[in-house]
Amino acid sequence: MLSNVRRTMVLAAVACAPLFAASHRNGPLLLEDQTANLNDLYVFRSYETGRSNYLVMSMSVQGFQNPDNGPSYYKFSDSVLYRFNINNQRGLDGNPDMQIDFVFQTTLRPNPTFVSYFGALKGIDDPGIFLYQTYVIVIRNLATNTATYIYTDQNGHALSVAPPNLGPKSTPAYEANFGHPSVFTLANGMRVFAGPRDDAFYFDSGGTFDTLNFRAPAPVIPASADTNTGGGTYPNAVDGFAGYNISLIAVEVPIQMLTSDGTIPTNTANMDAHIGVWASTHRQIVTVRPSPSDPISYGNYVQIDRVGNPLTVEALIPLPMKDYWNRSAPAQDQQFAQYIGNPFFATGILNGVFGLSVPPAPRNDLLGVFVPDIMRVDLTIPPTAPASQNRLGPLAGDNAGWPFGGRRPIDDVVDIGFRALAGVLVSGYGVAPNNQLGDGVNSNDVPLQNVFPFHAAPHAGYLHSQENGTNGKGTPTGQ
Amino acid sequence: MKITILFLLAIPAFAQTSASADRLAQAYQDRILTEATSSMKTDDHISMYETLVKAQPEVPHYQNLLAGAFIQKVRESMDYTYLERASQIVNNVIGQDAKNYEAARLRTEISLERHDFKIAADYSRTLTEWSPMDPWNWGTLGDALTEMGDYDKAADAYQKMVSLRPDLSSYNRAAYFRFIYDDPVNAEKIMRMAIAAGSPMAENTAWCEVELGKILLKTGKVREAGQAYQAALRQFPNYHPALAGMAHVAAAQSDWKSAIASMKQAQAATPLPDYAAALYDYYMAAGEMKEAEKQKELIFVTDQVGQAAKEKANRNIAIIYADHDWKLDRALELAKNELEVRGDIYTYDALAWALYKNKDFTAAADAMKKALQFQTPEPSFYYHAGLIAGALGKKEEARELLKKALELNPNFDTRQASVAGQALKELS
Repeated sequence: MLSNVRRTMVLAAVACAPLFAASHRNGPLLLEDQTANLNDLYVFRSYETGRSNYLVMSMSVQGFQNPDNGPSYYKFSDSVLYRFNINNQRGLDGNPDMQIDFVFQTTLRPNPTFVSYFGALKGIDDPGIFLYQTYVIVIRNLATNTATYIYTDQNGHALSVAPPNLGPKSTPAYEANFGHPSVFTLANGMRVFAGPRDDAFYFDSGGTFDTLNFRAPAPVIPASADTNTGGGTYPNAVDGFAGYNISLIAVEVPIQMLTSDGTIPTNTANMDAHIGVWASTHRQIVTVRPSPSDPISYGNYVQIDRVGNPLTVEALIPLPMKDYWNRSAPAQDQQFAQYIGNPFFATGILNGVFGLSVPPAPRNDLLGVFVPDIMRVDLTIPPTAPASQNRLGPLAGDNAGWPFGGRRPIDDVVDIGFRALAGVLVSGYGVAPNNQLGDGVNSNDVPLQNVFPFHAAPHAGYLHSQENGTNGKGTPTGQ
Repeated sequence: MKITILFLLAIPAFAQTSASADRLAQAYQDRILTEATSSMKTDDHISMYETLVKAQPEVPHYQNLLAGAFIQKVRESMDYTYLERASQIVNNVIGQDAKNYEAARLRTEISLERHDFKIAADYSRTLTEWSPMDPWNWGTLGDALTEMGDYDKAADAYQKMVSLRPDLSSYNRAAYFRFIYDDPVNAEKIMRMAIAAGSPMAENTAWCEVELGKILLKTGKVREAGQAYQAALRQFPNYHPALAGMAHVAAAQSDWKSAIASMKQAQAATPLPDYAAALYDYYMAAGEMKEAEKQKELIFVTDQVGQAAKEKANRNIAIIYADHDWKLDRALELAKNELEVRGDIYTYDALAWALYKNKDFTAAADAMKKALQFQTPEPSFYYHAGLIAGALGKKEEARELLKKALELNPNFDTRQASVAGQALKELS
């Protein structure tokens, strides 16, 4: 008994630092909001055979997904409204004219196990997908103030989220059995996809994080590298995003559904030939005090995050304003023009550190792209066939890439951005070394697809490892 | 990747002297850090941030990240040595830069953990002036005011928080207030929204699952409560409040064997006196008197250790003593002293219960009125109020209150539910 008491005494002394023995309600406070954070937005005319009159829009969320992060993997949040905003009038003022919303719903099917997926799954309707997500699409026309709700595809199948790629035993032939079947054709001619994919973004983040330990010859790449459009990664460079998945929401829309006059434009001089797109995430406000209204049906939505062009919030918006920027609307972006038109790193870093000659402020070349911060697409620019695409887009004569034709998965937005900020789009500044800046990673770790949704299949959990995974080695692990 | 791109552009700032460039580069590096580490366990976070602090001791942001990881570790383990480590780091950062915003936010969180609620409220108010658009500060202000019993101002603070940014942290607080304000249906809905919003920290989501389980259990939805606790354990294995919740669910169905097994697991993870008290009740119900005695001993020892450390306030132990008619004078002392630290409805309930057991029925009724000011659907509140009313000879009122307690959940407590049933019988 004595020894028991002594033992419990020690136990108690360790556990109950006396001041804190009585509990209080310590609700979590978040440093990061993973489910509502947007990563990338892609908008481009489809280069899939026979689909050039469609526009593809996709947004990626929840970056850096470990393919083997079972048992629950990653899912879309039921509490987030994911939105594509389209501006097709008034000279692209940053006000939406049309919105395409994705609202997800999770169904937990009867589950005798501790995992979210079990057994050799036979397809997207397999009951072994215990964590089953579906979505509703809402198309809003803000001019007519009408909304169309779409719950199923043209055959009445629920719009379901592709399950994760567990490995060859659970999800055999992933793309054939799960990836492509999760592309749904809607009665209105649109196609949609939601689910895990390889992250198409590529960048030598590791070398950069190591206090600018660029792997030679980065950050100034000789011109010879620029002619290489795929697989041209410098041997020393490492794609820090290789082997990781993201969650992708993608939609393919007939172009005439997106233009203000309902046509497929042919004349770039026509204002209606241009549209602007941005993605945003929203959650509902609830009232803390009881109110007669149901919180789920009546709460107003507030914007949590938005993304138009790559680079904006990181490179152009001062950090203390970041949250404010994320909450604000593109139509109000003029208030940020002072920062965007005179980015400190163009003068402070490119000029100050590297001694590059850069254009003087105000940088109208940047203001034209980033204010308002929407992804501009000239719908008269025909898509470039996959074999002829250039990662540097317009900088290499391939106008269907960022920033003129939207942004494709292949576009090397790091190198394009770096060079654009160095002023290569301004007359007199398209010279070396301004037009040779880059990180050394010139393509994605695994081949992109040439069919909707274009991002490669997600890496499989089973195949993902430091030894066998892609991790910059270019080995497809998504099949 | 939206977050990452700048890196290439901003990092050269390390090579030059511009302070603003440094700051920006640092900030982006850390954003990427946070994303890249989002699926890591807290211990891995700690060791990584420790490495960073060692490599770049001059960067306060890394110190703050490490302190934040230590605070998270306190949440998960209840090991308060981590709080001291966090506090040292934060004091150090603030000592060098009194305006370090990030450290100031953490300091508020530390004072909340220490139950320095008034100080936490003051810190939070200052921070809401520094940065009125930051939902965090409204959250800590609401937390402190809630504990102090200033529910009206707390609700205002939480409303600002959720209107600025609806997410897991603001939703779970709104859900809690709906429950306090006797709206359990919407409390449940909003807590489910918090869970759906999620957090990179698995424990955070599991915490909300446990809170959902508590709401469900208190309102008699035993099976659904079990599902919520199970979901929490899937999110964050071996999570002690979820294990305790599973034990409560088993106990509500008189499954003493499962209840004991789950509660022992919870106790092994974190030996809270509440867990020992629950185990005492389960062992008694199962007829294992010897094991029950051991748990009773453990509770007394815990209190002795507290007394030796001059602990004066502890409403949890006050309730345990009052529930079991042990050391009733000590129960009253602990409850009364708790009221000096905070004035929330749970403290008033503990005081009322201790006063009742010490036969001060009029004072007990006054305290109970404050505990039930919002008609919070806590079965034990109504049970306590019923017995107090009965002792004051208000038979009709006592009947209604006891009925309400048992309507909410006929098995709300292993021992007390049957006492409530018996009392109701005697009144009828």
